[in-house]
Amino acid sequence: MSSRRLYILIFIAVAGYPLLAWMFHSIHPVAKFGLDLDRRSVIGLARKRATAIDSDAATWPAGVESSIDQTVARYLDDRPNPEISKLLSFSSMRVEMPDPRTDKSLDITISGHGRITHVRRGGFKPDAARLLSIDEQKALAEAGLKQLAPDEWQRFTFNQSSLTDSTTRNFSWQMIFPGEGRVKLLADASVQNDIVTRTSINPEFASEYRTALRERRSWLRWIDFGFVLLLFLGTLFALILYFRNIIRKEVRHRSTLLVWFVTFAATGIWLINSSFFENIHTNVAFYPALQRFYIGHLLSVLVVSLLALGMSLPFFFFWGAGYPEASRLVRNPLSPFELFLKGKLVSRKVGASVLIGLTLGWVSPVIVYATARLIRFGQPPGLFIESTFADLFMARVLLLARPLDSSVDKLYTTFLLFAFVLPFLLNRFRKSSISHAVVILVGALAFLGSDEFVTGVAAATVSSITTVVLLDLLIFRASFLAGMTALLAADFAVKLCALTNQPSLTLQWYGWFGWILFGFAIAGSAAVALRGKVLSEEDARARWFSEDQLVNREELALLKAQFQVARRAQQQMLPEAPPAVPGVEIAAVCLPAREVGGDLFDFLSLPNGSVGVVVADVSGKGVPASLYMTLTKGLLASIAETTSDPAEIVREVNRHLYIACKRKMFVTLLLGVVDPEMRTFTYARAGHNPPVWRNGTNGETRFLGARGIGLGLTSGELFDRTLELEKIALGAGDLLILYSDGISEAMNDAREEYGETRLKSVAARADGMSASKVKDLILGDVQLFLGRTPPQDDQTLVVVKVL
Amino acid sequence: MPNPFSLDVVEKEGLSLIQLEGYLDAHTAPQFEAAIQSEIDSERYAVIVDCSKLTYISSAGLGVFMTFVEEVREKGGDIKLCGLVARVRHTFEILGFQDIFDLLDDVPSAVQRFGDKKAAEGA
Repeated sequence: MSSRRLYILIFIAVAGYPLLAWMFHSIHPVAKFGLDLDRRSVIGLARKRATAIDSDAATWPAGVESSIDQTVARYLDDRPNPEISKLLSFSSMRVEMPDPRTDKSLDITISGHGRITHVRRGGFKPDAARLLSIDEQKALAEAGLKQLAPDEWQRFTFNQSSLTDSTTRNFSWQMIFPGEGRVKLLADASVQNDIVTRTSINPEFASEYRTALRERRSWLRWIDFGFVLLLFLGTLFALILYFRNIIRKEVRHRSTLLVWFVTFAATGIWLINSSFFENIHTNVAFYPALQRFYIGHLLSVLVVSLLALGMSLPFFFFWGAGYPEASRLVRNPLSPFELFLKGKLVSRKVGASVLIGLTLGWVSPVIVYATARLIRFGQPPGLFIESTFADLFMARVLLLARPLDSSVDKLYTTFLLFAFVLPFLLNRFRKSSISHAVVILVGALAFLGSDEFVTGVAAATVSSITTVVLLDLLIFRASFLAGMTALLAADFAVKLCALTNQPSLTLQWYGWFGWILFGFAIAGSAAVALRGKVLSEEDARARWFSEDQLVNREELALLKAQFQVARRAQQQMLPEAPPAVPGVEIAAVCLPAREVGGDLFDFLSLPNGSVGVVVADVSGKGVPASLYMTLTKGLLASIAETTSDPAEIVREVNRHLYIACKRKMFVTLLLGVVDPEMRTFTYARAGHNPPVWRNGTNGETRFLGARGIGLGLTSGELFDRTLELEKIALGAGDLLILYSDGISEAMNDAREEYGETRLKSVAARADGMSASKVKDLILGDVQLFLGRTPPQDDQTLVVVKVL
Repeated sequence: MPNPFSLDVVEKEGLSLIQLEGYLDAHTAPQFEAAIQSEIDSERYAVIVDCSKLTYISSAGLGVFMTFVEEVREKGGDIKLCGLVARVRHTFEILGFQDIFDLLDDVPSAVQRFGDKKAAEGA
């Protein structure tokens, strides 16, 4: 990543996050209805009250479960009565304190403003000796309730008393507000003889009002259902594809398991840090029967682990199904994420992706808030506070709190659609715009319901489409890791904004601390992006291959090495130097077009003392041709030990090759015997290119074209009948050029062939040159003709100069 | 980029006429091979290959002729070639193919040659 881009990104972040914070502060309901308490003060308050009831309670463990009352929240947004507003809070923290030794427990619920609203006693035994009258019980109840609302008690009027069961009597009072018909305050107390088992002060909303509020967002229920359906179907589809990929051996098990492990670990951490776990923990871990061997504690961790395992399972299948598809794309968007999983955290690629994600995380929430504000201009933007905010505020380790529900939905949808469905579609539709459009449409529908904050179909649609389009751009321009980081960064930033906007100083402090950490994260990823490790070639290429194919590259390297050995062997099979024949100069060369070739030349020591010169060419190229070439060479060598007649040698070779080649291949061959004493050249031409003979005496140049069929094509009779033996008389200065069609048919860029005519003319120019010089002259001329085109066929040349 | 090649198989006076056009090399030889194979499978052993539009033949193409010639001859038929352009004829002649196959000038001559042979056998 260039430093210029980096600075631009950081600038964007520095401008964007404050913008987000400002918008959050001015729009988001969580900012307005502040929390005075953090976890510790909540527990402290509850314990103080509990100890006042039963002094043992000072030692009892405490668990906090927080929740948000959506009806109260909506009422507070809906022209609330100012008096009631002061008394109502949409958030409440329930502190459970079980006695680990007995059945006793104390439940104290505290509102967001710090008022105790519920007190429940469990397992307290009433005094059987003393039986209280109803009036005495009522007095007890009143005393208990007065403690909850000391200043307002005189405004409560007695409502009724009733028996809920044989031992418990319920007393209720109510406070009605003049002019406010939608809600009243209800004070409730349950008494069992001399024990007040429960006191609570609750708002009670008129049923018509409740229904009206509920109806406002009924359309979202369908979207929620749709989202669950999408997730289920998507997981099913991924499951099927995952098993198909296993059969095809395309699954990268290690990275798939790593994805599962990472999501399992993250989900586990979030769940253990949530009030869900608290609830299980206090109910199970401190159950007296399970207490003895810490079974209770183990059980609660087990439950959470199983849940985390199940929640992370879809990610396993999305990755297992999606990665093979993604690695087939020209650019694999999943590769930085994979590198990240492999532990290559300090590589530039990973750093760059993380940086992009961190600096652009603010965009999505800003879009949501902006559309909520702009589209419903003039109206309140809609008051839905996600219940997971409650989890955030009461988490044991604040900054590791569970992602907001909307973020979890987005994480799942993004993984499903972008790590799996989109690569799958891109590999099947030629027009990538179709695939992107499908995914954006489905994603927008899934995102539609996830921002509970946004009311109104119009606003929700605009913000969800925009968010998904931007996510798509981010994932395919940058990477999948960048997209996931952006989502997580958005979640973290929103939670930080929520924290800093609360009256509680502790919560604010955590918020600011979180921002500092965030800043360090951006700085750290920027440093890695600039100065981190550059990927090794293996890693860079790893995205193109599955593990199997990586192994094949090793095999390829092995093959290449073997080719080198074969080439060397073949070169060594060629005669090192031409034989010394008196009165004759011989020069020879063979240049294979590939690592191994199908041409050969050889010099045979014939039984009568003469030297046979052979040039041969197997039809075809490469390894198959070279195998037949080796066979031909072997045949020549052994047959030439038995006879000096070139025709007979050639006929014998044909008999053997006919059987071996099975007519699909053939070998052209020219075998000529130089008799230095008689000064003759006797040759047999089995389908091979006619040699050039330049007569040094009369300056004539002609081709030696005796009849003969190529070897391996016909069985003995026809071949033997057709083969001609020709004998020519050699004079001083004569030149014989034996060659293969790699020379005569060498083709240049303009698709012209070098041709026999050019060869003939070179021979004419070669008077007075040594054999070696002539050889070089010809090769040079061919090379000049070819220019930059590489030779397509093996080039063999044997030059015989008569001195 | 592969060189263009095409072939056509028609029936002519009870004989199979395969008309080749373009470049016959290792890439396109399988097409030619399949065409002759299908004629043989249909028990049509008298084949004329019209090479008047054939511009180039490589060893792979030559190999195709060799693959079938013995089989069709055993069954009483033959593969005869006609209309060879100069360059292709040159290739054939260096290899000595004119001693293995009948190389004729045009299709009617090839048809006639089949006829002559039949007449000779009949007599």
